[in-house]
Amino acid sequence: MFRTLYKASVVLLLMSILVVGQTPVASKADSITGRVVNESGQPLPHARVSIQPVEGVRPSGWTNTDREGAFRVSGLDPVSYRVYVEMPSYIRVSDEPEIGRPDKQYKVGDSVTFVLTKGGVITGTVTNSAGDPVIGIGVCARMIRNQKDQRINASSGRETTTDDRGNYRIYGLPTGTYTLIAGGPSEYSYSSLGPFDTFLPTYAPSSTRDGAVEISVRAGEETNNVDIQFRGEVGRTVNGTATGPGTERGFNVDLTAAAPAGSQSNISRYNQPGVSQFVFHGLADGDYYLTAHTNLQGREYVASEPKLIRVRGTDVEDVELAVKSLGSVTGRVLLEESKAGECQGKQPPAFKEMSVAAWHRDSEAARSQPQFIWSVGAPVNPDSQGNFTIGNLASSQYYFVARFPARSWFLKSIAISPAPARKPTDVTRVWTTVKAGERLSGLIVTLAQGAASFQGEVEGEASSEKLFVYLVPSEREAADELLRFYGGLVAEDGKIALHNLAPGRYWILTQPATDIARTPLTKMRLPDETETRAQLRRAAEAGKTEIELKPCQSVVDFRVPIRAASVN
Amino acid sequence: MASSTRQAIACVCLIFTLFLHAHSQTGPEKRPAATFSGKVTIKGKGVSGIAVGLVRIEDSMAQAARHRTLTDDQGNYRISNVGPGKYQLMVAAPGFIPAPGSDTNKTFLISKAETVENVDFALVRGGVITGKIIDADGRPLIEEEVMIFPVESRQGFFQHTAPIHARTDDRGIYRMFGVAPGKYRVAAGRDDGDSFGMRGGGFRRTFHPSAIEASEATIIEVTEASEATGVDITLPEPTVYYSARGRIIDDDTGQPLANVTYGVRRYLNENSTTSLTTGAVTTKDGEFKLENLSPGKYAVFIEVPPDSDWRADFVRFEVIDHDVTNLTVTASRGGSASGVIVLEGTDDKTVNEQLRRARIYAQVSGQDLMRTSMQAATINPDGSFRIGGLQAGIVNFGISIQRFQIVRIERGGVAQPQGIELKEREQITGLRLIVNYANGAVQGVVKLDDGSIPASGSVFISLKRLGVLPTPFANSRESAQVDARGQFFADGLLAGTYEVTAVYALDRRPPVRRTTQQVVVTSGAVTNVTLTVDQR
Repeated sequence: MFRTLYKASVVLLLMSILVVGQTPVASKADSITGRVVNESGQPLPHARVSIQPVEGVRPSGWTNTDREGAFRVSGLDPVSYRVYVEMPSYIRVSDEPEIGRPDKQYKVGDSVTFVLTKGGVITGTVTNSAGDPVIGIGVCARMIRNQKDQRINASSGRETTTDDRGNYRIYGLPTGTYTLIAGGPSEYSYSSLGPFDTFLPTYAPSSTRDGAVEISVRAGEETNNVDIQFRGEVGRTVNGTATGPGTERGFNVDLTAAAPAGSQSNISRYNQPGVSQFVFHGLADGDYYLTAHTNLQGREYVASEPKLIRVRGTDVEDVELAVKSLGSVTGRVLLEESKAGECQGKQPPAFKEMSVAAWHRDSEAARSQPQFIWSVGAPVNPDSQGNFTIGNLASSQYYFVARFPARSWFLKSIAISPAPARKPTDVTRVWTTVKAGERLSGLIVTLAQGAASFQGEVEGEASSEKLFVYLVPSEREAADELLRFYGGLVAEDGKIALHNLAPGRYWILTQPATDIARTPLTKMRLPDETETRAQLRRAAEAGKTEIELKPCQSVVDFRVPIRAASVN
Repeated sequence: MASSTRQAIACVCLIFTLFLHAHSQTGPEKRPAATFSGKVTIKGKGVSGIAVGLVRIEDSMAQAARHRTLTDDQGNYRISNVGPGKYQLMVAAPGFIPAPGSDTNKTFLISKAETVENVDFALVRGGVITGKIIDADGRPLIEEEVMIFPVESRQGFFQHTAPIHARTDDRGIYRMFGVAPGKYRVAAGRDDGDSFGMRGGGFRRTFHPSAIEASEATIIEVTEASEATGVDITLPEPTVYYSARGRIIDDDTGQPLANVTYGVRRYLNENSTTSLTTGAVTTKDGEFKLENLSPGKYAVFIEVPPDSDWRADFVRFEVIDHDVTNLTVTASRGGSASGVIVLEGTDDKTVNEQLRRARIYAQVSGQDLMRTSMQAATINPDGSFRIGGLQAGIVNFGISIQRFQIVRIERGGVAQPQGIELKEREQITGLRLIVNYANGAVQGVVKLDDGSIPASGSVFISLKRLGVLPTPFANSRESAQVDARGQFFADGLLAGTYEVTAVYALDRRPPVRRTTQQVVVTSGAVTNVTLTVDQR
C-alpha cells in the first residue's frame, strides 16, 4: 500500500512539473527569435530568415533582420522547425553543411544567433584577341576543389555578366579552388538571341578546359585581375524536330554529353507549343545524346530514346526525335500471415501506407538518358486490393524495393509471374529489363508476418569513424537470398537498430563506412553485387558473432564486438 | 546567386519587324525561302562577330532564334532559307543602341521567295549610369534592383524593348550601360503594386538621391557614351509586413470548408487592383492565412475550379499596423446557366472537335464594376454546358479559344444582346449560344499619296465590323500592325462587312489623317485591300 501511495505521489509530482513547464510565457509562446551577425560579431540587417516545419508544409514564416540584426517570427505552432538564414554575398549555410548544421532543429521559444561569413570575391576583365573589352558576356566561377581540397564534380557555379568596360565581379564564393569560364551556356540566359550563344566557352586565362588555371579563393577576401582573353571560337549547331503525342503542346529537349567529362554539357531547352524545331548552338566537337520529352495531360510521360549525335567539325541538322510512352510494371502486394503465438495481435500494414518503387541500374547506357527521367517513375502506393502500377519507366534495367511501416512484417520475396500458369521468377537476383512502351505485369511483392527486430550496441571505444553494421544469413542455402542481407549505420553513440528482419540465423559484423553516399542496404540488394555479398559473408563468418532470430522476436541490448574487418 | 547586369540590358533588340503572310500555295518541299542581308556598323565602321537573328513574332522571348548568323569582317551578314511567317530581325550588341535617326522599328511579312537587302543596323555606344545604394545607416544594400524611368514618355520609344535595370553587387554598387540618350529618374525599391506577393527587401520605391516623390527626384541626363557617376540612392526603413487570417465557411451549414483555394487582392486605388493566388488551400478547419502584406487595403477571395457550383463574395479588410484576424468568408452555391452551344457556318469536323475541347466562360457584372466575376466550365461532347457558381447580375459568355466567337445568345427563342439577367441563386436553363468560327483575314498595304511608305510607327490600322452591336466577348473592332514595307495582315476575323481604316500621324503628332475602305470578309479566305493616305 505504501508502495502504491509512493508511486501515486511521484506521478502527481511529475505531472505538476509538467504542467508548470507547459505554462506558456506570453511573448515566447509562438515565436522563434534571434540575431544574425558576421564573423566579427557585428549585426547584419536585411538578412533573410526562413522558418519551415520539419514535417508538413505549414505553418512557415520568413522575415528580414532589422537594424540590429535581430529577427522574430511569430504565429508558429508548437512543432519542430528548421531555420535557414541567407544574405546575398554571404556564404549560404547549405554550401557548407558541416559549419552550418542544417539538420539542427528548433522549437518555439528558442532564441538563436547565426554567424554568417562573407563570401570570397573574384574580379577581372574579359577582352578579345584585339584587346577590346567584351561586353555583356557571361562569366562563371565554378568550384573544382572545396576548402578541404577535395575534388568537386558537377558544381553549378556563380555567374555574372561583364559591363561596358569588360569588367566582371563575382561574389559570395565559399573558400575553394575555381576555374573561370567566359561564354558557354548559362543557367539564366533566356534571350532569344544571346550574343555569345554560338561560341565555345573560354577558360581563364585563354584556354579550353584542359588548360584552365585554378584560382584560389578565400572567404572574405578578393582575388583580382583574373582576366580572360576570349578566344571567339565558333562552336557547332545541332538542330532538328520532335514529333509524337503531346509534342504539339510544347516539349523539352535534353542534350547530354556522352563522355563523363562535361557536366557543362547537360543542357535542356523548352520549345513552346507550335514550335517543333529545336536548336543547340555553341557545341564543342564530341558525342552527345539527345532526348525529347514531355508529358501528356496528367502524369504520363513520353520520351524519345536517347539518340547519339556525333559532332565532328560541322553542324548536325534535321535530327528527328520521336517521343513515345515510357514503360510500366504492374503487380500486387501479397500478405502472408503467421500463426506463431508471438505475432498475434499485431496490425498488418495498410496498403496505402506502403510504397513500391523501381530503381534503375546506374550503367553506361543509363547515363545516355537525361537525369530527370529517373525521378518520374516515382514510388507508388498499392490500392485497397494491394494492386499497383509503377509507370513512367525509361528503357533500362531495374530492381524493386518496397517500404512498409509495420514492424512485425518482413519482405519475403519479389517475383514476376507473367502468366498465371507460369512459375514466378525471382527478380531480386537479376535485373529486370524494361523497354520504352513495354508493359510488364505479374510482379508479386510478398510481405510475411513474423519479422524480428534487433537492437544493440557496439562494444569498445566510441571512435569518430563511421561504422556500418551488417546482418548476413548464415544458413548455407541462404547464401544468395538478397532479401536476407540487412545493414545500417551505427549511430554516433554506438547504438544499432535494425528492423523488419526475416527469422533465421545470422552473423553480425561491423565495417568502417567507406561510401556514405549509398546506404549499405542499397548496395547489398543490387543484383550484380555478388562479390560484395560473398566478401561480407566471408568476413562475417570469420567474425563468428552469430544470432538466431525467431518470428516476432525483439532482441535488445545485444553487444556487438568491433573486430578489424579482415576483408574490406 | 551572383548576378549583376541582366541580359535584357545587354541585348540590344533593334526591331526590324517582318510580317510574314502565309499566302503560299506550295507544299512543304517547295516552301518559298527568303533571304535577308545587310550590314552592322558602329559609327559608320563595319563590326565583325555580331550576332544577327530572326525571331518569329509569336515566339516568346525565351525561344531561341530560328535563324541566326554572325557578321563577317566587313560587318556584313546574310540569312537565307527563311520560310513564310512574321519575323523580327534583331541584333545582339550589348552596350550599343541604335544611332539617332536610324530606322529601328520595322516588321516584315514574308510570304514568298524574295531577297530583302540593305537591312542595316547603325549603332552607337549607349550611356552609363552608376552609383551606390545604401540604407538609412549608410550600409550598402546588396542585390537591390535599380531602374530608370524616362522623363518624357515618347523618348526611348522603339529604342528598347525591355526597361533598363541593374542590380547592386556586394559593395552596393550598380552599373547600368547601353542607356539611350535622354533624361531619366533613377530609382531603387519597389512600387506598392510591384512588390505585392513578392519576397524581397521590402524597401519603398525611392528616387535618386533620396526622394519618395518622383517630382523631387534629381534628373540624370544621358548622351551617347556618357558616364554619370555617383548616382547614389539612400533607401528609408524597410516596410513592415503583416498577416491576415480567417476561415471560410459554408453559408448553408455554417461548417468550415477545407481544401478551398484562396487568394488575396490588393487595392492600389479604388479602381485598380492586383490579385494573387499561391495555390494555398484552407486547412481541414477551413482556415486560411495571408502573409507578407504591407499596410494597405485588401480583399480575400476564393478560387474555384471549372465546373464548380461554389462562389463567395470578396471580403475586404485593411492592414494598418498589426495582424488581422477573424476574417470570415462565406461560400454558397451560386446561380447557374445551362444550355447548348451551336456552331454555325461550318461543317468542318476538326473545327467542331476544337470547340468541344474549349471551355466556356461566363462573366457576371454585379451592381458595381468591382463585383465582376468569371467562372468557367467544360463543354460536353454533345455541345451542352452548365456553368455554376455565378453571382447575381448580368451574365455574358465567351469561349476560351479566341477563334470561336459568340454572335448571338438566345433565351426561349429571343435574342439577348445585352446578356442574361441572373438573380441570386437562380438556375437558368435552355440557353442557346450561337458561335461562329472566325477565320477570315484581311491583307493589305498602306501608302502615302506620293507612293512612299509611311515612316515607322506613324500609322496603325483598325478594322470595324459593321451591323453588329458590341458585346463583352465579341470584338467588333480589331487592329493590325504595319510592317517596314507598309504591309499588314489581320486574321481571326468573323465573316461580314468591315470598315478598314488607316490612321496616320507623322511623329505621332497632329495633324491626324484617316482613310477608310469597306471590304467583305468571308470565312476561310483572305481579302486584299490597298489604302492610300492623303497627306494634304
